Amino acid sequence: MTCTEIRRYLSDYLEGTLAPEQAQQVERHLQTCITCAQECRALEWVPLLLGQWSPPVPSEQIWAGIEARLRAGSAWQVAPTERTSRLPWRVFTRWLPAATLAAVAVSALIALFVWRAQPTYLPLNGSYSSYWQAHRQWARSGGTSELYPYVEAQ
Amino acid sequence: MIDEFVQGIQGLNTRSDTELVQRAKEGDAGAFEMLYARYHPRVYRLLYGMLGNRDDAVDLTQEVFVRAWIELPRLQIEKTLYGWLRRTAINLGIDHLRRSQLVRFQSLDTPFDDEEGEPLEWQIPDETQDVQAAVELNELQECLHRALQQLSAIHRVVVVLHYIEEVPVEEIAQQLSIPVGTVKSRLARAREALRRHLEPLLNKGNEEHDMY
Repeated sequence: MTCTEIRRYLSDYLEGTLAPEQAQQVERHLQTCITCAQECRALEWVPLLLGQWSPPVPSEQIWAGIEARLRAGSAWQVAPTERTSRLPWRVFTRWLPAATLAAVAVSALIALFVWRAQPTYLPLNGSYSSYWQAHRQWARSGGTSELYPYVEAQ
Repeated sequence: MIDEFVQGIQGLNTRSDTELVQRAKEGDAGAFEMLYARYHPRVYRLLYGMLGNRDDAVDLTQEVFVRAWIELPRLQIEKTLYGWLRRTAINLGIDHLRRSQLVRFQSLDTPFDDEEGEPLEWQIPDETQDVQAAVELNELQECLHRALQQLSAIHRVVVVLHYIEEVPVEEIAQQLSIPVGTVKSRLARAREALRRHLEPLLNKGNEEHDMY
């Protein structure tokens, strides 16, 4: 085959579409013809060069469109409905134990404070009927603390 | 405060797709945004390469990620999310080309598939060149961009899928519903056309290669 014929087959040779006999002819020719070998090498470079193609990406424009469609369009209503409703529930369940603990602790502190602030009084003779009688006597006398007939519980 | 935020972002960035997908399924928008940041340049490049039009590529890239969000609850990720994104992008791209009647993959085979090595004639002139995008590119990128834009849509699709995305020829044939031989033949014709358009770069490459 002549160089012109060989060059017609080079791309097909590189893509592997030639019949075995034709491919062998091309190979033999390339071993002896520098010009055709260079042409073959140039063709081999094509995919390697294309692999470097990287167009500028309008990232923000693309994302803005996605976000707008997800927020306003049907996409949010199809699948993410579950997601959007799940978010507050997840926050709630995540903080529930901590919130319960905090509520119990605050209640305990308030109870302790009230208990400490108000002294407990017991009747002197240990009888509640006499307690109320003594209390009424004390109230009639004007309610002065010196006459209060009970002792503070220790 | 800022350090914590940056650490949080970096933490997300190092997570695997499986973990990010799982978090996105649970409603973590940040995880989904991280997946977007990770893969949208590749999806966009694939679609831009296939369609040859910036606006269409933007629209379809958005479509791919919106679908990803919708499909998340049913998505099974074994290794990376990109396999799913790529499949979706290719399907959308091919549908778009078919709908816009720019490409009828099957009916236009004959003129391009003859084994006689007839000179390639571009029957579908590409009218979607994006001049503005080309201006933004450097010399190498500009040359590659223009070379791709010169290809007809049916050739550009196989070139982008095989040479850039490294999709096997058999898979391309299946996607386009054409024989494997046709895909290879188109690649060969496209390679010749690209070789002519990339002449300056290829000569430079050969000179550098000869130095060693």
